Amino acid sequence: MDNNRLQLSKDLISNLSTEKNESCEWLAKIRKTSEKRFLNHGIPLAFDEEWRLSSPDHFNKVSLCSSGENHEKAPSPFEKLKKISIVFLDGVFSKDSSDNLRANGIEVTMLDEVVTDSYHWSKDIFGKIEKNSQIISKRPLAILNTAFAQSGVLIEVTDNIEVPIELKYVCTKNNSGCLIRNVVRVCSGNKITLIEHFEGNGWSNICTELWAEKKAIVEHFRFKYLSRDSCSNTFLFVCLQEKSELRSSALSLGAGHSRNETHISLDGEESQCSISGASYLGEGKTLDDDTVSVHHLKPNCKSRQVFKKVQRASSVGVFQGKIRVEREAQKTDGYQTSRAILLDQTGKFLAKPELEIFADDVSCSHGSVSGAIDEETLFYLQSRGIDETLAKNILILAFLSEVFEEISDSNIKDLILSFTEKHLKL
Amino acid sequence: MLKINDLKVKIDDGAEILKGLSLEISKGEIHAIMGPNGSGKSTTSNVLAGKPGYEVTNGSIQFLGEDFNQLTPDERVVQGLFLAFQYPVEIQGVTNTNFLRTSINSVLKARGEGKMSPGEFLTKLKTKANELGISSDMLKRSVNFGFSGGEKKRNEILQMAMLEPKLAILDETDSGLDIDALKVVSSGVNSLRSTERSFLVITHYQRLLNYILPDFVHIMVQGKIVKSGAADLALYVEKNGYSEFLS
Amino acid sequence: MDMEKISNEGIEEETIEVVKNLTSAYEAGFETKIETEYAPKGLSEEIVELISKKNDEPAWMLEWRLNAYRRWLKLKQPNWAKLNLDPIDYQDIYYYAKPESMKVKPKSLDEVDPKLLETYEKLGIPLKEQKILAGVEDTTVNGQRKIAVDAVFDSVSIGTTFREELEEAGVIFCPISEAIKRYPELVKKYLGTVIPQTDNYFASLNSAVFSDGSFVYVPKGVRCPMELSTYFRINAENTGQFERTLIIADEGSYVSYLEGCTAPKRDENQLHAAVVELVILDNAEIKYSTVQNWYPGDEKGKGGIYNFVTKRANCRGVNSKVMWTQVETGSAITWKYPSCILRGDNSSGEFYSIAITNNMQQADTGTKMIHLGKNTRSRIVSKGISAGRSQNTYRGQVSVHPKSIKSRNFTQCDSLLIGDQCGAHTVPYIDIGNNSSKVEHEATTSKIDEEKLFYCMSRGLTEEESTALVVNGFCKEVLQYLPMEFAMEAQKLVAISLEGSVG
Repeated sequence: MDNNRLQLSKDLISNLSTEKNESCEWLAKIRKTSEKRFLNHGIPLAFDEEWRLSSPDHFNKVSLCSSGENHEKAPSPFEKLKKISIVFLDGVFSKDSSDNLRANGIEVTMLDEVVTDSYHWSKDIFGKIEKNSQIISKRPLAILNTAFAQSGVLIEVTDNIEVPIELKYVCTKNNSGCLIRNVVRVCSGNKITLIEHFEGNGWSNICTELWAEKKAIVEHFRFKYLSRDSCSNTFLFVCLQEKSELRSSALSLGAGHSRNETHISLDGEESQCSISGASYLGEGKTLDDDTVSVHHLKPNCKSRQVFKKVQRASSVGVFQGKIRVEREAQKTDGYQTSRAILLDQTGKFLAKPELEIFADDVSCSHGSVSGAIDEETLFYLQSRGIDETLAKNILILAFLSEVFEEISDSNIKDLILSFTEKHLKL
Repeated sequence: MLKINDLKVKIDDGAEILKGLSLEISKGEIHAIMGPNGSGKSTTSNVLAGKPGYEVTNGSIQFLGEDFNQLTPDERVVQGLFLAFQYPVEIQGVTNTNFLRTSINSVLKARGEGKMSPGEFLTKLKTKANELGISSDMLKRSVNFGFSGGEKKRNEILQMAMLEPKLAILDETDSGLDIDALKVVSSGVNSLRSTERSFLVITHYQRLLNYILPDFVHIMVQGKIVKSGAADLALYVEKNGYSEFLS
Repeated sequence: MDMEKISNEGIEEETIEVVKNLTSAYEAGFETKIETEYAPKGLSEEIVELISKKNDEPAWMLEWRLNAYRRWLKLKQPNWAKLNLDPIDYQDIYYYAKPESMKVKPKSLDEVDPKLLETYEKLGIPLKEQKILAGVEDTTVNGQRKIAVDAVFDSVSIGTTFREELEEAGVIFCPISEAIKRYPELVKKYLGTVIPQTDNYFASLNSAVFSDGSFVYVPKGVRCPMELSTYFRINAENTGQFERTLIIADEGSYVSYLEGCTAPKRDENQLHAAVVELVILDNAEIKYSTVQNWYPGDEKGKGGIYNFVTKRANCRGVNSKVMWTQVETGSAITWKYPSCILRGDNSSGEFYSIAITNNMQQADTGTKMIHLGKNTRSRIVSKGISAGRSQNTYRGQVSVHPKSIKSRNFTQCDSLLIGDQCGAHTVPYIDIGNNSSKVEHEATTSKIDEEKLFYCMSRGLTEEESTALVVNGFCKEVLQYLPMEFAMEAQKLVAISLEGSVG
């Protein structure tokens, strides 16, 4: 690695508050090797293939993400939803803002509470799925998270839990960057609905590793309503065992620089995943990046990706999606679509939909379409008395709602739909 | 009500489509424009509705005394115009009901009138939909999405019935319809006939005019009206073709 | 399933005939036994000077080459493609090889060593100009369309047919070595303007050491009266071929150009690094078709050509048009991205590709469509077929500049897998910089349709023949863009290159 990269990597570490809790030996060991791994690769730079389409600058430098403004409480689509909330305030678990975490069917531990050397279930998962994801694409900032994240939550699901768990990350001030690491294990045949909710400003790097055992079902929803000066890098790493299922959707209605990296290993036969995302960020130099990889390792698995982006003036939307099918993974069904609407002459959409296929009995496809709002449709709405602004917003909602259709929890779907309607002043 | 005077229109790539069109429609009248393909019939309806991509180089369009050319498409609807499309657009993700409600409330708001209450809206919608044989399932589906040709045209007439325009333009409404669908659509139109409402029916064939009886028929060739007459002119054209008007 | 349905999907009687008549695997694998003159092995400024001297070049050309060489020394061989190859020892290659018999340049094809002529005859390349009756406007000879051929053998062109007839029409078609001397102004004006010496590692290398290739200039308003073609043959051992082609279509002109290539079977890898530049001015059009059939190596991956090619068209003029059509069946390694710079308003670029890999072959190929002008159009249709233990990658870029308003692209990439030991990959890059343009990309990957295979076999065809038929059907959309003679040849190649892929 060149010296420049090494120096920048060390700078990044020193800018993070990384006071370590070394009381858990196995955790300390993973962190130590991960620090080495991170420094071996170094921070991503603009000429790295994975970052060719999005500038890594903001994700690399905490200092670039600064604002004097304090965060005000934002509206939430989930206010009326019955849920168990786990709140992190400026990167630290806030017991006062959170709900009572004792519920039937789950065991919740805070990462910084894992103090003993004795066995904890998360020991077998922590850092492993992240490491696996590196086979497909390099993600040094996820290694950074493994090495330095001090807070987060470990959730073990041992029964069907009907109430959604909300992980809410609130940054209220221009902080020194927050790293959060969550690990979730869904035991055989059980189900969890997990909401990740982002609010506020600041620099954050938040990673969730999810292990779904046989016939487990995971519903995941990510909602970003961040301020313009935020820089938010999220990672979702999932390993699916036999006949398990993941349905993950996301909506971003606000962010400055946002990159969502998702990696799914279909590691058991007949497992399946559907990953989708919709975004509509503000005008100006915002970045909205979805980088997804789906790794088919076993036969008879299904994967589906649906991404929709609406770009306003000067904003950049990025979609990188890769499907890799290994030799063993015969009878794979892989689908991917990415679509963008550019509202303004200066918006940009950059896409790299990729297929890497080593098995022959597969059916894989991807498609990508981008362009302006269809003029013919716009005229049709106007010729029914609807003015141009309203007509455009109706069409934006219609465009994004294809992603909402992917959400299988109907409560969440309705809340998201009506929140977006309000957001679009419909 | 509508007064078109010596209208000349170019499309974006420079070709002149309308070459001096003049037409006057009074309250309660039904006018039909007939003509061969490429004569400028659809351009006429598009220009009246304010579709982008056309440039008016000469002449004027007056609707109820107001200069129409400066108005956006939605503003024209507020004034009382309605265009039933030849090819209604499919809008995935917007339900028919929502679309109609938004449409009506937009128009009412622009006219400075209050919103229609949800109850009143639904009652009216159900009645009109029933008349046109439109099922409640179709109302729940996305606008025109996956509709058959006949369903799309019936949906256009439903929109017209809900918006109650002063002047309705029917652009090739008969195209792609079988005889049963044609009857449903025509009776939908006829039920909206009144002394206060005018129609401009644009068609290639005379067939539709058996069901929607016009007061006046105009033959359009190469961007202007070359002959006008009563309803029997349509029958004459049906029998003899357009050839004698071409030259 | 009835036969009609199959026919509709591109399996035709004539294809069945073609497939049934197949004989050996790599027909072009013979070697022509002749004396060859070599430059010393390896690359240095001296070698660059020697090549320039051999071609009797003016000083400016040598200077140009040396600049390229010095640039090349600073570059590293690119490694971003999905290709797995041993390091190339650039000092263990002959950069210049010429048949002894070409030492004194033959005045006409009649004086060329019969052994060389025989080689082309064996390859089915017509080098005889059939006499045309004076005053008869005819573009066919004995029912065959006339094709002018430039035959390049190792480092030199051994002759070009129909030159006089073309000259009458004002079309210049000659070896580039000759053009440098006879038309220096044209060459100076255009050489390196589409692909600069600094463009990439292999383009720099080619700029330094290219020995021959074809030069075409079609003047204003001229529709080239016949198809032009160049046939490249590598014969000598341990030799690299570095040809350079420059085609200029002046305002309002049209030309269709074909290119074919083969090499003998050898156990060593041989390097081929060509550069093709197309310049298209206002209202002009170039069709460029390639059937690439370099020796692919044996089934164990021994030998074969390393094919690193830079091809680019610059649609400079308004309404200019280019169409690339390629059938890539040969080479151990293919690294090739024929591209279109759509600079002129309303210009259009098309790319139609069939890439077949079998055994241990690796191909990383595709295109770039760079939309710069307003209202530009591009279309990409790529069909990749992987068999054996091969790896086949489509890599493409569609880039729409913010100022390239109202532009359109449509891309369709389909991959077919035959057998479970191969790989098919799709790596498109899509950059959209404005909102009045529309870009559509579709890609599919699937295995060969078993129902179709079964249908063909139930009509008495062997599995191998059936596979060839189904694959030909899969490729049909691209084959139709090839000139007729080439299309037949290509169908045959598609079948041959899949031999041994089943059973």
